[in-house]
Amino acid sequence: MSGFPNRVLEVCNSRYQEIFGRYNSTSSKKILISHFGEFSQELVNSLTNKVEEMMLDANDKKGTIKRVFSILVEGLQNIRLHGEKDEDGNQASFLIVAQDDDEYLISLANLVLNTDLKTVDERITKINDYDDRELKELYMEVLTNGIISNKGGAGLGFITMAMKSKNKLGYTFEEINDTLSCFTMEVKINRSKKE
Amino acid sequence: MKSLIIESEKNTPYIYCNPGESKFLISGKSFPENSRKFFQPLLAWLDGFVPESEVCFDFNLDYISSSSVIAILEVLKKIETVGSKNDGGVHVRWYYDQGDDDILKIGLDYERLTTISFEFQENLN
Repeated sequence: MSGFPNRVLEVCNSRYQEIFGRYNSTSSKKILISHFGEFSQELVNSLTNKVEEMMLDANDKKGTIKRVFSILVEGLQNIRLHGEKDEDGNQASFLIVAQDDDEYLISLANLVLNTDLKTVDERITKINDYDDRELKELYMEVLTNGIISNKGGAGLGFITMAMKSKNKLGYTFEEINDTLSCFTMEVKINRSKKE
Repeated sequence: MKSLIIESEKNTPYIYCNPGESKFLISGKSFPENSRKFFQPLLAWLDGFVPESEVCFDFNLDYISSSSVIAILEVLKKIETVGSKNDGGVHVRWYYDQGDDDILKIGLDYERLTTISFEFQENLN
């Protein structure tokens, strides 16, 4: 017995354990925050505040703190708005934030429908192919035609995450069953400490 | 006309629109989960607002999520319309923290996307 009520949760959790283990096994890396399960708006607020406080304590630059804060807000709202639910109604998802001397790593995961994989993959591939100027153009285009969906999303989330990260967005899909996959993102933010 | 005052919360800004005092301000952090829903009362209020002379709207935000960026553009488009209802027009004072390029850039984008005249003001820390 795995101890999980269903296979979807089990697969997501093994992904979570794997990333957690990978960050944890690197002696230079420190895991600041991790959560597996659902994210309420209150939890989003408290986790983002907590990371902000930890970064202030670690003497990070204000700009770096704001960029990490932004990626967390965009990523977690993305999970809440678009994360699919398993057969028991759990919005299985997770977050891990790790820090070392050079960078912050933010891992985020949620369930996606297999029928949406192609759209998500194409969207991120396009963003990763773009240079800064092209990314800004795409951002302005989406902003100009900006339509906020009924869920509250606006289509700027991934673009904003890429612009704040200033690195390529890492991502993987792991198929769980005929309907669902676990979608994991890894976003890197280079660190520049105060002099 | 009645004032519109919305107190700030952890993820939503403070909104203060008082025609009597000629004071219009939006400040704080903006990352509500549903930005459109959050800014709806402000949009509705602006619909009914016919100023007698020039009005200045102060924006002093220190964090704006991506969906709020779009929702605030809708607010500015509405402010643009308010400006066409009086002779004096409208202008926006856009505050940003010293060294905070991100908030400054969002203001510059808005200046490009609207016909409102923008004044940029650095908050000194």
